[in-house]
Amino acid sequence: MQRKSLSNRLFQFGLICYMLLLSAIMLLPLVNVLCLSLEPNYIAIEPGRLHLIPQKITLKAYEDIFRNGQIMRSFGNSIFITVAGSLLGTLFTAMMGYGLCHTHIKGIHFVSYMILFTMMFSGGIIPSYILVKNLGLMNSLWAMVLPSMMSAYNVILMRSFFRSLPPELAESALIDGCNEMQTFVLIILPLSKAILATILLFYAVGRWNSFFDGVMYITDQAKKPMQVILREILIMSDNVDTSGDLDVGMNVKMATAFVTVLPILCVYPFLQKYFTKGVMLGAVKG
Amino acid sequence: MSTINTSEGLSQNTLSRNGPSRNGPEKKKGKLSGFLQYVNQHKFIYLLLLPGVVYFVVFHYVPLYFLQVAFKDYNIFLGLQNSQWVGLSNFRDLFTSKFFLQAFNNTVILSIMNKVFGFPAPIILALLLNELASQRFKKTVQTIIYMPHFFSWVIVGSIFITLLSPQGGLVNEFLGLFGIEPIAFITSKKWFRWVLVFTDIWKSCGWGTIIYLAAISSISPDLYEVAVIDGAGRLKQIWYITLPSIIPTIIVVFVLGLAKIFNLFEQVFVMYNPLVASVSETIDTYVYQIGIVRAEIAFATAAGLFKNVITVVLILLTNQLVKKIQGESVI
Repeated sequence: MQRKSLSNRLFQFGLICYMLLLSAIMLLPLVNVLCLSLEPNYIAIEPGRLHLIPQKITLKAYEDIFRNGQIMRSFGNSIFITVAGSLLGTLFTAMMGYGLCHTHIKGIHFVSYMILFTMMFSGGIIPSYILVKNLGLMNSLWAMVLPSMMSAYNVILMRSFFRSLPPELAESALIDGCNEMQTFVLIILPLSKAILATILLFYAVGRWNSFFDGVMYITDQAKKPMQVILREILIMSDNVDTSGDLDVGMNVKMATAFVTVLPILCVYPFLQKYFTKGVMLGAVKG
Repeated sequence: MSTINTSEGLSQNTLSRNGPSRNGPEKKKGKLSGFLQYVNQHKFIYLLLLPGVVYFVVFHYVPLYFLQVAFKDYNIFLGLQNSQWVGLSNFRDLFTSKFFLQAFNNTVILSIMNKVFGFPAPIILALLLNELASQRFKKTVQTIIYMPHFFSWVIVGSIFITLLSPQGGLVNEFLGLFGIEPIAFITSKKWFRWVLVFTDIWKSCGWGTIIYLAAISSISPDLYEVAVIDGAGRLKQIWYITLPSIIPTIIVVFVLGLAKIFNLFEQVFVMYNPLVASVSETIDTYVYQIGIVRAEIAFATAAGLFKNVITVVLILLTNQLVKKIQGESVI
């Protein structure tokens, strides 16, 4: 017994060390970015140092960013895309998910298969590009909202959730004289707050992080989202004066990266509360 | 479900009660009005579906119509309708293009590397997390390792390009402590694919554990009790109980994951550079370069279509294989 518990304890100790190492690998890159963004540029580009704790703290890089019109405008664009995209996406996903539960109504099965098919086969990059062009959405912020507004996966997730609700709920509401719309809005939706929040946050993170749509559909500098502008700033060679008012040093690059990731870090604690549930629901087959 | 069954029962009763009177004198009209009546009866549900159906038709099915470009000599000035059909000639050009074949080759190699190293990673991690005795420590670790999933590739790419830089990057500074010369990971053909594989694992392996942990938590504790009585140690319990119990989940994740196996765009796009393009240009980035940058629309559409067809074939074949072995298909 004694030996077994000793080996058990050694096993636990090894496991904890391994997990600490893993956590460090996940966290250190972010700490590195934060540290570089807080240091004056001449220290940030100095070789021969591990930039994990800032040697000298200055907020100059952040001041530069907040004074830069281009960056602030792209920040605004990203906020619009995120808010519009996640609200519309969640609304339509919830409606569709609930509708798809009513499998006895004609055409519902067909619609379900139609959605599942899109998970397997898509037109691809160029056909989507032709479509957006034909719809006249080029250089419109809506080009970053509409084409990826809903995901088949989230619709299925929503449907699985509504199916998991006890059927007596809607039955008794109907008996009490609610019509179908009242049942959905007054009974079903209030019970679905957690899953709605999950899907809203999934969509919001997706929109905030969307980059490819921006590269493809937006060429007007004033309409570009944050991720695209961040990318442009990151690939600038050091110390090239851009639009005349921003010295792009290592510290400014890293500060822009950190500002872009900050909203994610802020919603992350709320997100975490829900997403495990979301992923598990999605795991329900069919 | 039975909520709905009830309301269905109600509505169908009403429908059949109204039926005979409608189908009486004018049969032709009756059919149409019966249909309208049916739609009207369920109009709320149909209205709920309407925006979603419009979205999926417009943004997922209309693009399929544009796939015909792949079989045409597309001229942007003539438009889609007036461009000449050329059969498979775009595909013939594709397979004689050195750059496409290179991109295809890279896509296959990177996907295999991603699967071989990236697929088992979350499984192993989930098994290890499950063994942690302290629940609070486990929660903390989970919080940390799920996080990278929510960062965009632009962020992750830039973080790693900075970290791996031979001029003062964290990794090279660290290696320098042991007297190792700086390695130019990002611009070295030897290293770059490994950088892609590693960053993909870094970003997604924590998130990937969620589904396996859920599967593990649903294993009956009785199994472990019996195993302990039989004298099985920790490792034997993992090998003989935990792992076999989650194999169905592993198979589902594997097959569903195939749908995205060749989607190698954002990560490569934000991280690669001309020096390593020959080992990392994938079909996706190639389609973008040819189609959007160089505006050879037909050629690029053909390349994209080829990729999508290969993906579907791969999914269906794997699904068949699973069906043969397991007796039950995934999709």
